[in-house]
Amino acid sequence: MNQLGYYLLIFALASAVYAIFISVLGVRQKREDLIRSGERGALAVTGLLTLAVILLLHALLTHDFQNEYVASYSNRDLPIGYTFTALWGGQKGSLLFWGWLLSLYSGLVIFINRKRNRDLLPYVVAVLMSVNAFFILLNVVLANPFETLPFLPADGQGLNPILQHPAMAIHPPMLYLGFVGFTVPFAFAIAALLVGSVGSSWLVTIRRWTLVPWLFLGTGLLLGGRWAYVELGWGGYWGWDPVENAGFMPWLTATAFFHSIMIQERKPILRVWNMVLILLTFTLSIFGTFITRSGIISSVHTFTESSIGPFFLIFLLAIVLFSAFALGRRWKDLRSQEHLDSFTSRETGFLFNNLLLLTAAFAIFLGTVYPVISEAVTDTKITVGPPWFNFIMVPIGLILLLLTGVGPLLAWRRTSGRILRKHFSIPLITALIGGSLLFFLGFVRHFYALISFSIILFVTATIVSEFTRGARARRHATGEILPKALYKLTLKNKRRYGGYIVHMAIVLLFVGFTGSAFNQKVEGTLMPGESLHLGKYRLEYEKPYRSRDDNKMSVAVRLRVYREGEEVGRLIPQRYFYWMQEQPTTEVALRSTLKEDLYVVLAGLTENEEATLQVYLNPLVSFIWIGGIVNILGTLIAILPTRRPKRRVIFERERKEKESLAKETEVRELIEV
Amino acid sequence: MKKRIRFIAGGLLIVGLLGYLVVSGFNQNTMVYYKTVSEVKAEAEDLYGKGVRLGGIVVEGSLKQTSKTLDYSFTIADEGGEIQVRYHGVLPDIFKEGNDVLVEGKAHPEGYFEANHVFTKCPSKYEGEVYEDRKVGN
Repeated sequence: MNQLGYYLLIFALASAVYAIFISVLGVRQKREDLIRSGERGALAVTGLLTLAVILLLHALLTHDFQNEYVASYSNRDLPIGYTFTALWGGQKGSLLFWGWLLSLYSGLVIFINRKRNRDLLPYVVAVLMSVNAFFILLNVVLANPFETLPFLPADGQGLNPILQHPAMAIHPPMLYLGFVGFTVPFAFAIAALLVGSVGSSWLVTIRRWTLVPWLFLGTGLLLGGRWAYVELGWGGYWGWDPVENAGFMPWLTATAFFHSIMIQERKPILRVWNMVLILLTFTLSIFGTFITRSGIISSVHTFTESSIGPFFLIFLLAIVLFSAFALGRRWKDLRSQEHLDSFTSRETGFLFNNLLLLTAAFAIFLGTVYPVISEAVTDTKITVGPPWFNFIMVPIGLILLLLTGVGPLLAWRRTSGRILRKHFSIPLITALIGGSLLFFLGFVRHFYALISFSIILFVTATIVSEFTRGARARRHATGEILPKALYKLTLKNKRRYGGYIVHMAIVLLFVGFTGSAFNQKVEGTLMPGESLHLGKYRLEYEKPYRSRDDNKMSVAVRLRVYREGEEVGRLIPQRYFYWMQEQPTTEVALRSTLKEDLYVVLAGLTENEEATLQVYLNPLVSFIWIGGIVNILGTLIAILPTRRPKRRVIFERERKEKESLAKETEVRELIEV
Repeated sequence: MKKRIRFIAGGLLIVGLLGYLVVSGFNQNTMVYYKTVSEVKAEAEDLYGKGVRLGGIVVEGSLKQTSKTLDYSFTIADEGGEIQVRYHGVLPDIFKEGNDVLVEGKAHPEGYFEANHVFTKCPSKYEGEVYEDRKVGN
């Protein structure tokens, strides 16, 4: 079976290479049959890799420990759900998974474009298959997931217990779907450059192809945060770790991209810029993969240092060089002759947004690779941590947040003073009044937090007023009731109102981020009956529990939680100690409300029942997860196709008209007779 | 043309401000120097008040809890020597004597290292240990 798996990989590699050459040959000789054959080659890759993945899953589920990968990342006790996730648990499997996802994307691209974008498609297929071939090559040469052991182990090593968490099970595939998905817009961009059709039509095609991976990537990042928060027990969800940064950079450049293409859709400017953004987004995705796999930058998550690093570096260089070459060839065609009209225009707003997003991405890049750069330049290895990132990202983030409110209200080309006053006065007043209330009533004295909450109020007011203005106008015109008018309004203009919903999600995320300015923490060692105080809470230590089974030993303490003297519930923070991995894990006890999270970690329990606890009070964290869900909703609305009367519907209508006409004549004839 | 110049000037101003923001982020409070144990010992005066990140193996038998709450002390070693580390906080789950750790904090003039953070390599599923024979065979 394992032998068969390896052969499948080799065949997949061969098909990919065949697809690359035959597609390019087809377009050179203008032979549609060769182009179609290239597409079939790509589809064969999808099929072969799907089979390979099924084989590996089969090996995992049947506990085929002869397979080295299966023996390393699963064991008999592992719950079946996590046995599935072991597919992408290790380096080899994750590379296969990566290649497989890409082949699925390719299949989808070919299917959707079987009648569209025929001029671009051969190159699109060639680029997709080149990237795919690289990943399969890694599997074949360096990281064969079907490698067998010279002996048959009785049981496998199992999956690390701290990774056995639902968020961790779906977080990697989400991230991968994001990273991998950016290959599609990249392929279209390169194809547009090679063919020379650098107008705006390809942009329309790839808007959705960028939004989909963007959504996956963002959701993946949030799930990662959620996992860190509930599983790692340090009370936070984001630590500016290189691996987190690696996912965040392409997210930022992709965000810049689908804002700035809106300008190009209206005016032939920024064509080079948009091209660069999409090439950059893909390059950063591969760079991210490189970081996580090479161990070049020490991170808490990196794969063990492996021989894969140099391969990625070469691949990365090849991408950059090829992109630069393709871009350089069309440089003249891409240059624009038109200019911007006014400072107070939507265009300038987008440009500013792009500048900030790119600066953010650049800063994160700089901070992430700083150890490498500083060592090369000054011979001292220096790293920058969360304080550095926060110093830069907080102001940039706040201005970006402000722009989510300002930008959509600016008119294209030029905004008149009257419009500015009309659109901005209510939000501005809301922000000023709300901000001063927060300050003078003594709720918020933290500088950035105060600014942030004021901006949050401002942006919320702009979004709400946009919806009400639209819905009112609709109600006026159609007489629909308000909820129906709102619903119809959103569906009639999905892109715009979906975008607003995404902006609202960003606002919610910032509510959560701002809450961290008020985090509190306390720790203490208690005997049963004693209490810890934090904010309005009192935690009383009732009694400890101990238990053990074949897998682990667990210790726990039960706490009664009082808020302002009233009992609000119980919390049981625990610690497990897994025998097999000889490793403890922290099981955080969390009491989450919209207002704040009470987060309790059991740091230790002595023989004489003394418990050491660390308690965090984190306000507003729930808004982050809610923001993530709202973001999914808004993005889905923005992705949904705008409804056009379908061919079939038109057909139907015509047929009915003909029929009724025929009947009429029939009747008339009858009468005449 | 005048408008164009204004656009460029405005753009440059913004880029300049952003650039300044990024550059000014590099200061005493944010930069952390990678050092080895012997370097920390030799350059103790130079490093006074600076953030330092130090890697090494936790010496077997050196981990002690020094107070009722979360005060720990342990010794880490690399090729160049050993240094005592003091830390207040919860040690990471994967912290173990004999394992590689990274500590971040400040070198104390009295010759020990005061850590604010202790990192262990995430055992991420990514990093399955090399399959060893001793674990087999039963």
